[in-house]
Amino acid sequence: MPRILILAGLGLVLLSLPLWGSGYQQRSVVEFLYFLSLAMAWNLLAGYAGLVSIGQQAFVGIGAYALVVLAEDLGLNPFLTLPLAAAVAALAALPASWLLFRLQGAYFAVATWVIAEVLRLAANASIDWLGGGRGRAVRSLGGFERGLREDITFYAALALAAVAVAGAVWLLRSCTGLGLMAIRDSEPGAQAVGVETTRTKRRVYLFAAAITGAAGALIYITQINVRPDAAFSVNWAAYVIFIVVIGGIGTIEGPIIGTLIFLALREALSGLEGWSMLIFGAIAIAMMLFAPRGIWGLVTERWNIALFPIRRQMPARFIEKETT
Amino acid sequence: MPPDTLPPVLEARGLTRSYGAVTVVSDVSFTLAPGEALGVLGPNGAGKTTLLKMLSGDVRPSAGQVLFAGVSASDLPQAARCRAGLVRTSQIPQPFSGLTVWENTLTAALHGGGLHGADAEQAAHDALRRSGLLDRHALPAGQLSLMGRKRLELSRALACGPKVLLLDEIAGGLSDFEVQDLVALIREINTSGVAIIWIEHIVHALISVVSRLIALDFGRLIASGTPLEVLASDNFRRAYFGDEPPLELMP
Repeated sequence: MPRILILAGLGLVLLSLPLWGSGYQQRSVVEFLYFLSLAMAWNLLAGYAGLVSIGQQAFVGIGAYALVVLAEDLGLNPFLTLPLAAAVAALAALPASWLLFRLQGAYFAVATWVIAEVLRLAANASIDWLGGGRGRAVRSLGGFERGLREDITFYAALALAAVAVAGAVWLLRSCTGLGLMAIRDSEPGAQAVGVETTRTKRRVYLFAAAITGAAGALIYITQINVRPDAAFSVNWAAYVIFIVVIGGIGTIEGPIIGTLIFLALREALSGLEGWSMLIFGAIAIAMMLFAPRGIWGLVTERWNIALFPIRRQMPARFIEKETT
Repeated sequence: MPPDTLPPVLEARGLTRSYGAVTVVSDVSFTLAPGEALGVLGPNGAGKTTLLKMLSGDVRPSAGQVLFAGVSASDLPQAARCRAGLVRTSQIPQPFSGLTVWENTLTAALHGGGLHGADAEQAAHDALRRSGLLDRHALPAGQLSLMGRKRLELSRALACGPKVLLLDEIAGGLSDFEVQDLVALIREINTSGVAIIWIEHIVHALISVVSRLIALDFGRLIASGTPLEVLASDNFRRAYFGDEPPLELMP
């Protein structure tokens, strides 16, 4: 099975990277891994559940502030806050889903953004506890020797991305996955064949929030300072939408390719300051017009391959029965 | 055994639905025996689809009750009714166009049928075979013809393991030959023991399957009985032809 060999080889390269890679390479891969996790979560929502959110930064921010409170105020090991940040984000997503799932399409999208903005403004208000507009630093990270801290960060990022990708593949290959894709294609049709549409969407929404929350905590472990305008910035949503649209929405492979292209482009355009955002936007629009299924869509049109097969085929035993 | 001696599998008791001041369905009651085929006729806007949607759980009645297998189903959402065996097909087919025909039917077997693993696959396969889509199992559902989409609606409904199948104008928009194929398919489903309620404007197709008709006009039940009784009733003629019964004026 070449597919398993490719994945195993990739895993081995990543696992051993701290042994042979430079600090710069290691930090770049961490960035790749957390953007990949964010993109995988958004892709599950928009590409599979038809839930187009432009407010996932709410959970990045919640994860970041969970890190601050748990590590600074409660004295937990910052790295152990990652799963807790995921739980906090999922917990916050539950009441949000009660509000949001009453809305459809564009109304849903705008409402997700409104929730994120409300949280940003709330964190900006001068609540001393959260540091107001200037935010707070995760000082306890200073207690780690730098090399050790970067190695733990690396493996934490690797674990998060692995959970995001494996969780997405597992979810989509399950009965829930077919239900999700059915909802995306026709919600009345999905209801008519017995799919519990609201419960299915909520399950995915909470999973995406958990992944995004853990990614938020991880991002601010690498950045140390948590400021509300940065943590709840709509840029998180914009970058992630760009990644998924470029790579191929509604595929597992798409966000991986999209993240690579996004980081390469950002590196190449880093000298252009604000212009780079304009170029990102133009590229995304061009992709939507001329290749709406993204780069992975172009690849699968030409070659029938899948690195992470999630589609179902009629079992061969039925086909043989028909021909004999 | 004549159907009316069995306890009903489905019963509508005083079903009423209003939207503001407009009452779309008004105090409609009827029963459906296990394995029976019941047709619903009525002019456009008579409330037929709304009635069907109250039975399937898409629309909540303003008043009245739905009893399924003797138990009140009024509080059950659509997905739960589907799993219990009360399954509806849509007037406008709702294929999951990004999924294949196989995946469409498997989704129904897993969710509506409540089946797992090989059982679900077997049910999906049987449903595809019965509805004549087996050769197209790998086709994306979005590429099916209109007749193919109608077959897919039936295939998915069958995969849910229905006791009662609610058909909403499933023959609409098809050619005569296609209607014949569909009628044969629906008759086969009915003879296999599935009770059917079928809304249809194509009367000859409808009465070649159903043994009993009800007719609605302005949301009210205006006639019920055998197809001949209903089609010949004054109420039914008035609903379709106006107050002057034209047949009596003919030489």
